[in-house]
Amino acid sequence: MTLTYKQLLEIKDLTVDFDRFGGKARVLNRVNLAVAKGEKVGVVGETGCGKSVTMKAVMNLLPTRRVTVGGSIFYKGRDLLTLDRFARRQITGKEVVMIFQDPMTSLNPVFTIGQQMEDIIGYNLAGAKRGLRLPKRLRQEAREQAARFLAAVKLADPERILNSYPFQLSGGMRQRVLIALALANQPDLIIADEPGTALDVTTQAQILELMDQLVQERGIALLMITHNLGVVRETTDRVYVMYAGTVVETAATDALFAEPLHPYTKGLLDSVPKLHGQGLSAGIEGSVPDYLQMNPGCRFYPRCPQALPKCEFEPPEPRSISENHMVSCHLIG
Amino acid sequence: MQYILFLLRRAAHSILVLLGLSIIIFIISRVMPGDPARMALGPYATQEQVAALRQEMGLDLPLWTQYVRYMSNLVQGQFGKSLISERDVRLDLAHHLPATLELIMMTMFWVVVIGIPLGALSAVKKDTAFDNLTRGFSFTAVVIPGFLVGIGFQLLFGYWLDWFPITGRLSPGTVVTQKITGLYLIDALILRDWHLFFDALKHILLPSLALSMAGIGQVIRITRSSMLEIETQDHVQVVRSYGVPNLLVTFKYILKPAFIPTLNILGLLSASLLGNAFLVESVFSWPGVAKYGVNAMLQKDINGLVGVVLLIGLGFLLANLIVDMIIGLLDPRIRLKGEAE
Ligand SMILES: Nc1ncnc2c1ncn2[C@@H]1O[C@H](COP(=O)(O)OP(=O)(O)OP(=O)(O)O)[C@@H](O)[C@H]1O
Ligand SMILES: [Mg+2]
Repeated sequence: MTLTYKQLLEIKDLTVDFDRFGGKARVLNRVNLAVAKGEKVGVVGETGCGKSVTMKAVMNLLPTRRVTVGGSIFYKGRDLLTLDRFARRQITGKEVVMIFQDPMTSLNPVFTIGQQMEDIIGYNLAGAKRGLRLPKRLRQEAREQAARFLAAVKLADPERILNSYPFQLSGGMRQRVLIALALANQPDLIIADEPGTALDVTTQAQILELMDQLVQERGIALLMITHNLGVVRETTDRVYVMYAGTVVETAATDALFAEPLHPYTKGLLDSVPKLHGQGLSAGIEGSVPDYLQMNPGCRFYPRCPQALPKCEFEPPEPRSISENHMVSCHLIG
Repeated sequence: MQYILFLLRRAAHSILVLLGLSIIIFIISRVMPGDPARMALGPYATQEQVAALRQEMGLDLPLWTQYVRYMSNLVQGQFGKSLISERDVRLDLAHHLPATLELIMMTMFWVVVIGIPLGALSAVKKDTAFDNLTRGFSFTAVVIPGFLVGIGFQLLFGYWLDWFPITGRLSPGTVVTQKITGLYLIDALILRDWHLFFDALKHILLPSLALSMAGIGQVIRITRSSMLEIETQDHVQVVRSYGVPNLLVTFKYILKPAFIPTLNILGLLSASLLGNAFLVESVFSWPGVAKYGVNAMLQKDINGLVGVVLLIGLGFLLANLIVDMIIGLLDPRIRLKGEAE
């Protein structure tokens, strides 16, 4: 069965509730987000605004207990949330892979890089008919593939890397290993959760450039979470701005930087130190409020410098400004 | 190479501990109230007889000289004669040790084969009825003293149900045709003497289970909590996110790192086991070394006491050395770098 689809990944009205001590926390509130084939999309927003939760929902990594997920996540036209565990595993982990934030903690300390890569690549090679033990032939094949992709991320001496334990490698090398792992499954979409933020600036820049180049060459779509607006500007085609579990604005990257519409986006762009102009600007006061005590109207209302009376009780609907530019704010339209 | 150095360092450390222990036990045995010679000879011995024994044991010498003598004897592996049995302490220890060793090994066996799987399963089935039951059990098991469990077992399985004998290591009719290790279960296996094997097993079951309860409880808790902690770590999410089968994630990528705290607990456990062993040995009339040690203490048999304490110390250090060795094998950071994170 082939479905026709416009977007590679399309998240529709995704809602995630966590049962917490003291009540239900609506951590994602009707998030809409799409990535087209080969497109590079950025997601920005303050810490705690639900970026990682969104990606974990796609990757099926949210805890199964005390969590309710609503809405849909279409991948190539099929709703992942309606698939069973096994069907879903044919997609996430294979066609859609995720690179985690911190290379220092993303590899198991008591197994060699080779052991981990063999298992991960091997089980994907084995496909549906996998047992608990990988056949020797597959293990061998997985290892060869691992070595090839370690070379592709410009790690010298892949054989030595495969035989190393994580603690024997630097942070930059570990991050490259994780990128190699992501590429090795020949995915259509890579989700990168703040790649390299745990590394020093120079290494991070190298890693981002490498990743950009590798996905470009292979036509892989990239969904990148980051705090770094400079990175967004340089690498992505389109940006989503998230605040407190909602998407407040999305636009082509250039358009968003040229003409931010939502007060939160403006604040975010303002908080970047500028090289010219009047030095540092103020940014936005405060931080993301407690999810258990969210404002019933616009979630940004308590911190918004331009709030209207109706913002307190009436949640704003997303509005199209131009073909690619959407914003959720009562001030607009 | 780093691993060998690491083990050597631990071994050197153990020797230092043993040295410290020998000094402490020397001081304690000399400052304990009561005269060992008088205690050994009883109230009807004459003053001259007591003085003669004191002289023979060197108790009339200045403390410093006594210490030099004591140490030079220890270095040669001499503990002197027991004042109770009037035999060489080494013979006494050799006589009592196998019973305790067998009891403790059996106990450790239960702790490992019951505690680790229950803890792991409890973590995998977190917040289910099974998990709650296991946690309740582990909590209770840690709190109730081993000798009470022993008495309970005796009442239930020995007295009321009459399934198991409640005292001793063997039934009166059973003979050990050939002593090889002194551990009856192992000797029976070597000799293929099944009657002996099952008789010994029947006797050791209740005391070893009673002694293992606290350890099982601790091991369940530590295995469960360290597995749950590792479960949330990024590297587990990474292998999960790539669709590696759940069973493999749990039993390879979570269990192996989670094993390290459990092993540490097992090492510590060996010490508390020896302490609890005395009470359990008393309850089950188990002819072990712990009971011998307490008798030595009560009757001021200083040579016997020194022997038992040093033996127990040695056992504890050996157990921990083995634990360190296994941890080194599991954790490459120790094996290759000689340190843990
Ligand atoms: N398993 C969970 N149980 C309960 N609450 C959770 C869970 N995971 C995340 N949250 C909550 O969801 C909110 C959003 O977290 P999330 O990790 O998505 O933020 P983020 O945007 O990725 O932030 P950062 O930039 O710091 O990574 C936080 O308030 C967090 O406390
Ligand atoms: Mg995050």
